[in-house]
Amino acid sequence: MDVQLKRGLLDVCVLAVLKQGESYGYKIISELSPYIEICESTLYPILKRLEKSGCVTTRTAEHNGRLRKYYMITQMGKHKINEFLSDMDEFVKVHEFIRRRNV
Amino acid sequence: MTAKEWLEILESELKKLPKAEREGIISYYNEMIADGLECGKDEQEIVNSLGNPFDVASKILQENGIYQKAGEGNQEFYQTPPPRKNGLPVWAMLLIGFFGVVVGIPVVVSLFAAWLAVVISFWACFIAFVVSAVGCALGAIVAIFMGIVGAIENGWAIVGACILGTGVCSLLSVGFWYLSIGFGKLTVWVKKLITERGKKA
Repeated sequence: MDVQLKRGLLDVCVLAVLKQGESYGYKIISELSPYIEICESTLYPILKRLEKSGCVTTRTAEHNGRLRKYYMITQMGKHKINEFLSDMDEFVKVHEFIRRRNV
Repeated sequence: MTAKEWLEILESELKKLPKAEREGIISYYNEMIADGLECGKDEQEIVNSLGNPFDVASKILQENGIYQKAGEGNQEFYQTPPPRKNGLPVWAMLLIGFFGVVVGIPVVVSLFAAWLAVVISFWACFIAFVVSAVGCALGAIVAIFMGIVGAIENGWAIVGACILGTGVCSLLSVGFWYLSIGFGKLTVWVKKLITERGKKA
């Protein structure tokens, strides 16, 4: 898959996980890995980017005597998901157009 | 490699990063490892899945705009700006650059030479005019006092004519001056046009 395309997809995938409620790094990866290839070193810049652009916020809480960072989706993050879905609707139409002419 | 060793390598490889940034990354991987262990994963399995710590570090440095020298191991880092994106293929840029040199330089040089010639001839004319007018006036005055000129009025008339000539010459010179400035500006504009096209390419 194209690198740029995948990066954009991963951003929205992470937001979609967080839409179900706050989560943390390890759990995000376990939830996503059946659907899209993602590893620890790819997730970190994504979370960083989403936080910087105001799509997620974070909080640090104690868990089993250590600290864990939780990520939560913001209004802007939710808006990003909707934007992606409507972009994809258009994408599907174009896809259909191209597919029908490629026989 | 144990998880601790993995983290130590990562941390030492990220020395070039700001402290806050580095600590954020280390605590992220610390958390990942601890969560993996908690889920019943084997430490070795976790370390393997994290990948080579040198590779992880160099990827992070790259994302932060710090580039490593190729094949330079993992010690020497240096900062370079990200490569500039060029819109045109190399051959097109070379072609435009070539034409810029072949056509642009002669055009600019000849325009500049023409401008220089105009300015020099203007000053030469101006100086010649003034010098001759002043000389003429002085000559007339000397002639008056030596009694060479028949009537004194005639002498003074020559002086007046010379002064008038100088005045007219000065007026003309103002117009000429602006003309030469305009020509100079035209030269600069043409040069800019050519060099900026070259830069855009």
